[in-house]
Amino acid sequence: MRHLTVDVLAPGALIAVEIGVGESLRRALIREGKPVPPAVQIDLLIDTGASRTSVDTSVMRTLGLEPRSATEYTDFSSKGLSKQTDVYVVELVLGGVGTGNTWRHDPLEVLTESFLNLPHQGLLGRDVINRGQLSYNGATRKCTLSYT
Amino acid sequence: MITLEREYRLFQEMLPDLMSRAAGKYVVIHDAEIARICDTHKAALDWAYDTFGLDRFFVKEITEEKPVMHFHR
Repeated sequence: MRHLTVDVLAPGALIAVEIGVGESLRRALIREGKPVPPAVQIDLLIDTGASRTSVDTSVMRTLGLEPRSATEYTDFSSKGLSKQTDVYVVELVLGGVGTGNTWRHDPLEVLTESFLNLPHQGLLGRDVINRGQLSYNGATRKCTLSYT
Repeated sequence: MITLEREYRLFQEMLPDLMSRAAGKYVVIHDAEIARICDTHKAALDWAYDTFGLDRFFVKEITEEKPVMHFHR
C-alpha cells in the first residue's frame, strides 16, 4: 500500500495534484493534429463532505476543456435547493507523475465552481477518497491517504 | 445555465426507459439523439471521441443519481 501524508494547516488538508486532459481526449487531439495542453498543478482541499471532486472553472479554461456532462448539486449557498452545473472529464494524478506514489484517476468527472481567493483550487471529494483509505492524526495534525 | 442543457434535458426525459434496460451503463448523446450505450465510462468516451472527434457530445452514467453535496468555506 502507498501513502500520501499532508499537514493539516489553517485552511485544512491541502494536497497537490496534477490535472490534465484524459487519455480519450488526448488521442482525439493528436489524431486531429491539435496540441495537447500540459497538465496543471493545483492544490485541492481533502473534503469528506464533498461527494464529488470539483475544480475551479479557470482550470478547465486553461486546459481548453469542454463540458461532457451535467449534474445537480447543493452547497451552502443553494439553501437546500439543487442547482445544475457542468461536468468535465479529466485525468487527475496524486503523488506526482513518474513516482512510486503515482495515483492516477482517468477518466474522472469533476464539477466546476469558483474558488476565487481561497488557498485551494478545488475539493478532493469522496469519489476519489473512497478508492483508498483516509486517516487523520489529530496529535500531529497530519492526514494520510493510503491506496494500492 | 449549463452548457449541455439540451442533452441533459433529453437524458432526464429518457431516464425511466434507460433505467429499465441499461442501468449502470453509460449513454452517449449527440445531436439530440442517443448515439450509443456502453458498459464503462472509458468505453463511452473512447467511442464518442472516435466517432464525433472534438464535436459537442454528452456522456452520463444511467443512474438515479442524488444531487452532489458540497460543503466548504
